[in-house]
Amino acid sequence: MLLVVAAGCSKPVEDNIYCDVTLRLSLPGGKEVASMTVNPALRGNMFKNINTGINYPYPEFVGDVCKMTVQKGVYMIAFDGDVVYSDGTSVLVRFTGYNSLSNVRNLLEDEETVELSVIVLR
Amino acid sequence: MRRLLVISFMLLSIAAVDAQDLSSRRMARQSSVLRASEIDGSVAAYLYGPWSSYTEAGVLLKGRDEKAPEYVQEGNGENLGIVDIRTLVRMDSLSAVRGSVRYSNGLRRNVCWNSSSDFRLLYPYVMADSIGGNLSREQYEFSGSYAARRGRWHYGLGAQYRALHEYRQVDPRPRNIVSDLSASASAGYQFGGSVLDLTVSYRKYVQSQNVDFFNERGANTTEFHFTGLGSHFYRYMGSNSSLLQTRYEGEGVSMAASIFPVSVYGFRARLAASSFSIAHCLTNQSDVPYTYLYTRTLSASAGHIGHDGDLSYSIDLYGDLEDRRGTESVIDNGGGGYYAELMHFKMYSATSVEGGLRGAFELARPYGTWTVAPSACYDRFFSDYEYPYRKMMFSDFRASIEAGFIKDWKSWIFSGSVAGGCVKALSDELEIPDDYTIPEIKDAYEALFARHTSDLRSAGLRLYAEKMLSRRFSLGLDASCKRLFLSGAGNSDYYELSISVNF
Amino acid sequence: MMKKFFVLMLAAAALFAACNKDEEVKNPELSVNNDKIVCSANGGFFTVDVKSNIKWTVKTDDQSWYSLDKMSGENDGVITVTIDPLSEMTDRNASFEVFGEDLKVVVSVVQKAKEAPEVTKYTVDVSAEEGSYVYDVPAGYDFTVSSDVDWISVEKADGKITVNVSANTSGESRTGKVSAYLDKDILFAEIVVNQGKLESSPLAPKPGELLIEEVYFTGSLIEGTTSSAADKYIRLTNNSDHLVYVDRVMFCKNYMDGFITNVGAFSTYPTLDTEGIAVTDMYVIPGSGEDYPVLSGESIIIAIDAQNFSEENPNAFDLSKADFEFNDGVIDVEDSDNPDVPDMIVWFKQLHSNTYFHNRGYESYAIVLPPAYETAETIMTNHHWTGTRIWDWTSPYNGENYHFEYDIADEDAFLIPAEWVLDAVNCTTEDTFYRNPWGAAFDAGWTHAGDFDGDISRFGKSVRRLSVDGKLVDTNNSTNDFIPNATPTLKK
Repeated sequence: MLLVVAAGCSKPVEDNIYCDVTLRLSLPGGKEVASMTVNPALRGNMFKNINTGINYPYPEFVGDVCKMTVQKGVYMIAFDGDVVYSDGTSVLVRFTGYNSLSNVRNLLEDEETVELSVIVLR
Repeated sequence: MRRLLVISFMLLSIAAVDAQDLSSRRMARQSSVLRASEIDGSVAAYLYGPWSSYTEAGVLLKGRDEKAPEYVQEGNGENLGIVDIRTLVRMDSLSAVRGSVRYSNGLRRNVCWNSSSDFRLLYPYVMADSIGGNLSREQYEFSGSYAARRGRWHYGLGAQYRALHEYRQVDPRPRNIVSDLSASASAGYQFGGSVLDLTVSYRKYVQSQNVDFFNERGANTTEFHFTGLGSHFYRYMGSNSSLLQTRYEGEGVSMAASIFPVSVYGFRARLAASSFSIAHCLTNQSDVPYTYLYTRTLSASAGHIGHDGDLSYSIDLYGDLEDRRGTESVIDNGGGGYYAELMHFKMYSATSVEGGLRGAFELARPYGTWTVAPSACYDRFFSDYEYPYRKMMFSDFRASIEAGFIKDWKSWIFSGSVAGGCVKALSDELEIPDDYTIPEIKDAYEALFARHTSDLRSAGLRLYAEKMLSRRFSLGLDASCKRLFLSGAGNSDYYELSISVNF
Repeated sequence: MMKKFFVLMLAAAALFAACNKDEEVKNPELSVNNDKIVCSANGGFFTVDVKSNIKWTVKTDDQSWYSLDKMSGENDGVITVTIDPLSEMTDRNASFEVFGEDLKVVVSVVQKAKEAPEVTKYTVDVSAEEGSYVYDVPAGYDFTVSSDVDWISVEKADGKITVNVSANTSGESRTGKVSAYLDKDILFAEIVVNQGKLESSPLAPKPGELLIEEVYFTGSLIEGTTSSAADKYIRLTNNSDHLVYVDRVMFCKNYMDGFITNVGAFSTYPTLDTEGIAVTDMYVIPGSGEDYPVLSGESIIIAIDAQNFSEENPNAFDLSKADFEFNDGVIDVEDSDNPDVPDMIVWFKQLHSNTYFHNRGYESYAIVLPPAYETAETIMTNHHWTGTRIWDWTSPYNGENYHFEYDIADEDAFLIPAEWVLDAVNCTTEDTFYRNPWGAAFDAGWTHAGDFDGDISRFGKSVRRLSVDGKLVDTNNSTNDFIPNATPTLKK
């Protein structure tokens, strides 16, 4: 006599709440990137879920790629990063592609890849 | 004579006697043995006992003063004035209509970490702030039903409606309006000496809620949209009134099956289940639902009412399970002013289990009736939140006993009882991370946890007196109080005082 | 009768005697001692001795450069000939005749022209500002002078050429030539003018040296109301280690909207990341280059109104000692003016109202330093932004989509090159923030006073830049660099 009533919701409940994200850098000039680090202490560096407010620190980029696991959601992504090229030179780059509520990135699938076209500051 | 009087009292779970004779109903109101939930849950089952038209009208004062409130979300004190009118009108020997109206008005004091009404129904998805304050409340309840018996069959239809208005007139100013409608249908069949009753109910619930700040200097606190165990929906926190208008909309169904004896004595059992789901929507953001709560309950009881000479008893074994699941929505960025729900996933769960044994014993003597009602149970609460992971669990053992005496003397009836109980905390666990938890909220949860994992003792007293003014009218006075003793946390006091007219 | 005969006889005798006398005069003579006068270009006085025994008359050839002191005479005489100086470079000749009876003597006058002098040459370097310069040339010459460029005009006087040079707003150095000629295209003088471009002071601030330290755009609450006083200001601070001059520093407001309206309408613009910033209103600190010094670590305050607001509102500030103020004169209502506080110079204003700061934080601000040669006119002419602005809105009321496109060239938008930009800050609120009006290289973030649009608690709060070890933090990201909801620096 147990009665289970389907909820009056519009979408089914998602089983997997996590998304495996691959971040891929794209720099002008085409030089080979050895690494990039992003300072988590700067508030403007964000990988922030706009709903939960959780801000994930960027792992170190090995080459032009890094991977991270985040909760599925809608994200603002922006950062200043210290890039080291393979030749040992370094530059400061900036990404602001998803830096406001109007420019966000949905990460809703189990796996996503985000291209980061940065500008070189100096 | 007295035994017969007691038996006749035991026939009824609801004091329904011929309007010409209130005596048996008066006594039945005092009897613990006859308070059978199987019959309470049905719209029509009461027709199997002796009943007659009646009206009860009363004024009730209720209050509490908790030094260590069980839930700060319901305040640490309350004073309520209630006017309650119930009536049953016998249509004929086999059908009746019942109705009731109840109006309550009062104040809850120091409600904190909750700006929503019906906290126990809706937690964890309430709006909350750290300041809180007194909350005025005004509630209307209406119910009506029709029941009939035809041969071995019985059936009935009923509806209940509750309207609640809670508000505060200093910042932060919640204003909540609840509309809670239930409709029930019961049907059953008498076979042999037992009755099988099936009752189904549908519930529709709506609460509109908003929090405002009127101070010209701006808001004095931040409102949070709680999502469980100290987490909150970050995006809509703040003091912007446009983010603090929400609406709960839910519906549910329940079903219960019971077996009870036609006469008072015999085996009885009940199995009930319910499912209730409610969406919490942001009114100004395209009504987008940002949380869903699914509550399912299962309860079962089985027992027996019997007698042995002058001793009457009821014993039953019961178990209750509530499973509460909450989901949070991923809401898009609201481009173009339209907010859409992209997906939602389960984040919160809470399961509470209670199982125990309860009994009631009455020994009729020429000078009066002694009553004893012991009970013991185990209960456990477990709740967790998916990410970042949080957990709260506690369990305890509870035991209580109430002993009383009923005296019927001339046109008076008196009863009095004393009660005592204890709660022994068994196991507990709390895990709330510092990251993404507002420190004040974490403190509040730790205080809640401490309260629920504390041993406590209780003591209570109840006195009742009723005078028959005529065969048709009686006047009753009922007073009770209870005190909880919490180790190291102060005491909590509860009282009720009512005056009723019965005719 | 006898008498008459006698008289006649006498007359006849006299006549006979006279005739006889005539018969006694010598032959007429007419000569001069010098029938050719040769003089130099300087002119002068010359005499011609006339030797004659008759009456004589002089007739000239009507040239005006010489004159005679007498036009007739008798017997011997002296004619003085006055000859004017000759400025042309060509000899000139004249003659006059002395004649009497049948005699004539022609006297020729020859005036030799000067020798052409050596060409006078100058090569001069002049400043970029407008100016007049006088150069000496040999006097006494008649010459024509002109320049080969339109930014030089010339004037001449005897022995001098004045060269008038207009200000060089071209952005580059330039050269023009002034040439003076005698007649017959003989080059007389040449002046080569090299004019440099207008340069800022070497102590003019460079990007990162002068920063926006604070913007107090909300104003102080007026008790009993939900509005604020006009005690708003912006504080600029010298973050360098040396003195800077803030002359001509321009304060700008954003052209691109950074917010989305409460019904979800917004505009999109051409991408502008590193090449510059798009501004509309432009106000310039007065000064010619080194009039307003700011020491290292020191600040200036530019007030909306340089008044003492604290007299009437204890919550408000005394801005009567501000360094500069916005004064629009009389537009819709008369703007207050503190005569002791220099006014910002309005180069362009979009709105026809007195200058204000939006108190809910809908504006973004920048300070730039245009090159010294730029003016309001050159910016509005040469730096107008182009492109298309697209306005999109989906009505929450009827679900319809609205899409409009506008030519930015028709709007009041100016593109300030990146190299001019000193600092920029974006102010907004999280619930309305839509895009950063400044390019990613200038401000990648945003700051705010008030937690949401219309937050009453914003009054009395400003946005202030962080300071670490005495230096203002500047990452070109106001999310990092600024403290939102800050206590204003003027609050005691």
